[in-house]
Amino acid sequence: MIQTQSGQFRPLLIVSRGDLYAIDIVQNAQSDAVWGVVWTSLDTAISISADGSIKQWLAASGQPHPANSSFPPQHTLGLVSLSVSPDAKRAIYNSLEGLTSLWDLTTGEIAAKYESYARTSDDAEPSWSVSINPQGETYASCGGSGNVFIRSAQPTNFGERLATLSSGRHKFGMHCSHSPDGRRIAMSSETGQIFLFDIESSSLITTYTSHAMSVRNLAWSPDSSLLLSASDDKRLVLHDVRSSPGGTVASFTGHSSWVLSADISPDGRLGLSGNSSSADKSIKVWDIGARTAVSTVQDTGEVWSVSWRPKPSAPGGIGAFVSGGEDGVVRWWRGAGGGGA
Amino acid sequence: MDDLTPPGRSFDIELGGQEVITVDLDNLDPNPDDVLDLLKDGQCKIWVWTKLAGEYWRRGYLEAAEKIARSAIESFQANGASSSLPPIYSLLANIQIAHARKAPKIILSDARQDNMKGEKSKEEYIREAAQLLNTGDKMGLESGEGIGGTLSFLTRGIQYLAMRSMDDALRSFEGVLAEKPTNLVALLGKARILFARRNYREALKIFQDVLRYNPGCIPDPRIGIGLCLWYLDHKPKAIAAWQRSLEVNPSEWPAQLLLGLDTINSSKSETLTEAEKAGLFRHGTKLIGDAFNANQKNAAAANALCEVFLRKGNYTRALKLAERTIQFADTLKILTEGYLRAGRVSHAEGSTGFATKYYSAAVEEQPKHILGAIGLAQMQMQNDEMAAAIHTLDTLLQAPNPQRSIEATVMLASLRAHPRPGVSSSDVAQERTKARELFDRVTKSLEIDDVRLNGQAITRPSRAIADDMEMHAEIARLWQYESLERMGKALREALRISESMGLVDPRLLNNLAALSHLEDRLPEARALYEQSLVSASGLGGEAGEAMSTTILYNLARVYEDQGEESLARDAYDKLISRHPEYVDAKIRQAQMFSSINRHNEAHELLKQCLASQNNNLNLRAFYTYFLIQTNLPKPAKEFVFATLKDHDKHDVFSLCAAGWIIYHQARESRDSSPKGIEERKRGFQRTAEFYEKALHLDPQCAFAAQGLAIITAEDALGTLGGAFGGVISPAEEAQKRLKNACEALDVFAKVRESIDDGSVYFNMGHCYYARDEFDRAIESYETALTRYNDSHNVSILLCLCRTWYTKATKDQSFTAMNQALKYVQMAYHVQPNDKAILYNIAMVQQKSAEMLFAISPAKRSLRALQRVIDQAAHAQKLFASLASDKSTMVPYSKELADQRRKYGDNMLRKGDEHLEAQRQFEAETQARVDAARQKRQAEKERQEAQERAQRIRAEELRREAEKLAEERRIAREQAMEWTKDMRVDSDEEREKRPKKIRKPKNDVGSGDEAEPKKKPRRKLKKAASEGDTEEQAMFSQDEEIERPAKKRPVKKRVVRDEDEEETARPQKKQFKSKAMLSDTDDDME
Repeated sequence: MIQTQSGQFRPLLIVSRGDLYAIDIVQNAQSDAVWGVVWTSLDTAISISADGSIKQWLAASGQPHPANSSFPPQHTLGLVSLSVSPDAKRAIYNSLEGLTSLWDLTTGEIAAKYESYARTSDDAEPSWSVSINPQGETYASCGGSGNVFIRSAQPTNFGERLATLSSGRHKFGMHCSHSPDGRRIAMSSETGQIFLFDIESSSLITTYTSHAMSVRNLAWSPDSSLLLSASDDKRLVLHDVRSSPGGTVASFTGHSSWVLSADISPDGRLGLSGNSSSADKSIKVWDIGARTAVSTVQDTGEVWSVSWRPKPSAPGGIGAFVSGGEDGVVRWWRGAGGGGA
Repeated sequence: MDDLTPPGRSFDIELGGQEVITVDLDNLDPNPDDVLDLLKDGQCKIWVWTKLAGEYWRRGYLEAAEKIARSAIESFQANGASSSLPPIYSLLANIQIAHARKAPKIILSDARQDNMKGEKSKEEYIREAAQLLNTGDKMGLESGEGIGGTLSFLTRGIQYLAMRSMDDALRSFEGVLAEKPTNLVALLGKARILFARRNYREALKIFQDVLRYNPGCIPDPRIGIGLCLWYLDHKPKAIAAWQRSLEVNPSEWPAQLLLGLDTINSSKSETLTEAEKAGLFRHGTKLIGDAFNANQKNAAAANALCEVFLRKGNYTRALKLAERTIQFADTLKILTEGYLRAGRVSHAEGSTGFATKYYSAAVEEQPKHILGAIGLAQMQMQNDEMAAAIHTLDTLLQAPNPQRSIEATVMLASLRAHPRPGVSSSDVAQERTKARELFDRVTKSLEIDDVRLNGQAITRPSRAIADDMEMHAEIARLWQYESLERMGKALREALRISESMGLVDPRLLNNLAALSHLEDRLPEARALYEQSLVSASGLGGEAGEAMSTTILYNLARVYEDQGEESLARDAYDKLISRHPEYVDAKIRQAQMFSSINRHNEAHELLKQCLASQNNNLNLRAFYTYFLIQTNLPKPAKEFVFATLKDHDKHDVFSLCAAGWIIYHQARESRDSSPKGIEERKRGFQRTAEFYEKALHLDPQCAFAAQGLAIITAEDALGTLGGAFGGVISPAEEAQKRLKNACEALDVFAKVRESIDDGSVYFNMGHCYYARDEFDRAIESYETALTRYNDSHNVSILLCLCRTWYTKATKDQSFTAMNQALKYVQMAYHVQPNDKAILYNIAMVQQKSAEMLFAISPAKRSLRALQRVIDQAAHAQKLFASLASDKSTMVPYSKELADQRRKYGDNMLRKGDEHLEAQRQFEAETQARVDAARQKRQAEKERQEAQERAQRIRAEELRREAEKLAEERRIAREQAMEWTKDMRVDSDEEREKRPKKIRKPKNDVGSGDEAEPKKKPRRKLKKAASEGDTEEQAMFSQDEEIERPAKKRPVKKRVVRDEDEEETARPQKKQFKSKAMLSDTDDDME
């Protein structure tokens, strides 16, 4: 573990490349690839895997959490989407074929399940990506039709469709994500468009065409003003959702292959991205203001997911994050040069 | 002639026996008329005439001497006393020979400086001398005095020597020497002949004899002595001899010339300082100048002096001297040198015509003359006769008698390296190979020089060559397509030289950068490009601008490869703003758009390019590629055919692209009508033709080879894996498939050597799969996955799934099936919009259960069984979902999905049964294992008890033995006591007895220590091995349990196989179409 010298702050912009981040904890979390990981507000990390399991870990030690309790039973297929409520009391996750589960983190029980692939109605479709509404008792899902469905997150009628937000395009929805203020939802498609919906009015606000290749991940800034997209076109694009139309602020290039994951730090200053190249399995930390990569760290497999620690770091600090990837390992990274955690 | 004149200062002529007139020989009147009158009047004897004539000659009055001789003939003939004339004829002949010596041997008709046309040639004089000699001989014969006599012999000898008839001359001299062994003239003649025949030792001896007989002899034998010593490698002695000669005869030129030459030669030594060199050179030049002034008709002196003037740049004088050398040269060497110098003067003056003529003459005289050949080759190059120049240098460097000349080799290599008009491409390649060999030879000999001199300063010419930047640049160019390593080496060498000269050629840096770029060392390449860009922009002017453009383009390519797309885009923008017609930059911009799916922007740029450079084949190739990549096969086909028709029907890229497009079209056609099949067959046929043509044009074309291999592997010219029907049986079909895959694999293995990318491994994977070599197929696919530089190529992931699936089914391996499930999930994770993959997931899940149900409980675990039952149960839900999908178009059959679900229902009914059987089996196994363990435990305990018993027993034995030993010791001591008492015993007994006593002691002693220990150890071992065998028995028992179990599934499979086949087939097809679609995509990459 590389401990940081607290109190020694370094201005970020003069740091260019290098080992700005060091591996803090390594957890051989899963028997198969980790396809998603979230650092919760309670300083735990939850990971989902291609082997069908979901697990929770203590960020401080990397040990399973809570100790001596069992995790939800392993599903027969891989888990592809995970969303955790801001208070870290509930997690919703979805499997490859569309089995959505509600995990009550306070009890450790699966509170409800929803088989989205069951063709109960003509326009029913398997969910792919899910996002829990930070404020309400709903979650959003997207999939083959290119629509966003607002569904109940209540255990009693879990999964029941409450509203449909139509993108107007029949393109597969790769990712959907609520803004932290819960007012908007962004959905990205297999062809690269990003659709921004207003939840209250159930209407499409704008469409970004910054990418022409699949966008597999979206990340909101904590103040809900910026949206960062990660695309197969090797780029990340930052959008300012307050200005309309267009709203493209910056594009970040430097990854040599698909960008699979993205996140924005709690102070909104740093972006984070995971790469998929078999030659260059790297995580990059971007200075959003300067629009450059300030740090590149090597991982050993495709980085399917990255997540900042939600608790803001000391002023000028460069924070900590967690990553999960193809090698089945969850890694905690800590700023080695600044205030750290 | 010298011996004809007796020493004396005056000479008396008797006139009519009464009057005596004394002629003062020291003060001869240059005009011989008075003396002639005297001689005529006095009716003098012939010897008086000859003596006087000789004396005149001696004084240098050759004309006067001749006049006297002629008058003598007149006078004697008038008196009818011709019979006494032969000596006069000899004299006259000698005079002619003396003339000949100063006459030109060749008279150049086009001499520009040294016109000798008025002169009589050497040959004429010699001919005259011969005539005179013959006349003299005839007269002698007529007068009855016979031929011969020393004089005549000598003169003949001299004449032969002048004519260079060495044998005849030698015979004459030998004749004289037979009578008069000390005849100096004959001796000198013989020595000269021996010298010319390189018999230096003998010649030296004779010269030394002459010197002994007459130290003042002219010509000075010291010259000959010096020459002989020089050639015998006693150079200081030789120089001493010449210096002595110069002291004795200060006015004689040969010593001066020789000493001058030596001085000039030593002025070239590398060890001297510049001042010393200059001093020596000046001195040498003066000596040669003096020698030449003493005898202006001497070719050797002229030749040496010519070099001096040539160096001074005084071409007029140099040319005159060169022409003098040519005209007066009496040896081949000098003649060649003369031609060479004349050539060099003309060359330096820029008179190519003359230079060519003289160089040719030199080479004609001495075909292996290095300078001559090089000079001639240079002229031929100047005249643009490259083939002739190559021929000239080849003649020089090749057998017979090949010359070793680095300079000539470099020239020849360079000439061969450059393509000449009218040379076929295969010849050009051959020439380049030859050039590479020649350069290799040069480098090697430079290295040898280096080693030989042990790091000391190498000779100037080799250093000049080794430091020739252009040469290294040329070597680099020659290796460009053969060996990047060699190319890099040469470039780095060139760069080193370039740097040492203080100005770095940006092109060199650029090329080195390109090399690093090609070898994927991107940061290095980038740094070099940036460096070269700086130095190119420093050049300014048009050349600098042109270089900067190219380098900036290259730099942008590195930016692109490094993922710095915005930098790359800026660079291309800059290029295009400066050079709007620079299509390469536009093409890259199009490519960058296209790679992020912005096809419209890319298309727009490409259309602009095509509008400006419609016949740019690179551009057309890229556009073809673009159309194929953006899935526009029809326009691609039209475009590529237009390229072949209107632009270049031999364009290899277009041929391959056309082949691929037609192949794709024929393969993807679903038309199964007879006409349709005919059409498809024709398409495959044409594809093969295109690829073959491409291969014919470029035998190294890996893409064409790969295309043909795919045709072979898929049997596209045959039945296309049965798709074209026919009478072929399934067994034959399988046989054929194996054979085709094998053939194709051979080709792919070769293709891999030139294009080491994913597509080759992907195709190899297919072939291994076709050959049921699943492990190798998996290996190939996995390599392909990494070669594509991303681990999410869905086609490969699906092929990996298919291979694991087939392997799992064949081996009944649960692990393999899990791998199949893993890969199919990975594929779906990357491409979740593909419902066919979802179908496959369900399929693999169901199949896992089906497989585990079919194998014996010993080969599966309860845990695995439970897992697959869960999976299969879940698959039911998926099949249901798939079957009820409301979409109009689904990439699978809804009916089949439903059938699968029904089948799964049936299958899963047996799930509990299997679980029960497994539980029971595992309980039994557990019981058996427990029993065995107990048994082993019991056995172990028994053994331990046994061991314990043995140990106790051993202890007892030991104690007994100790007791016994103690007893014996006492006995022995007693015996010793006895022997002491019985000293009187005989010797024999004395010897025997102690032995007898000692021996048992030894035995007992060893036994005391070893035996008790040994025994239990042996026992232990045995016990252990017993344990082993028991364990082994346990294992083999296990195996015996397994064995019947192995057979069981086979029996069951007889029933199963059919429906397995039936149900597996559609799904397999699913995979196959996927795989096929994908590998075609890859072919063009």
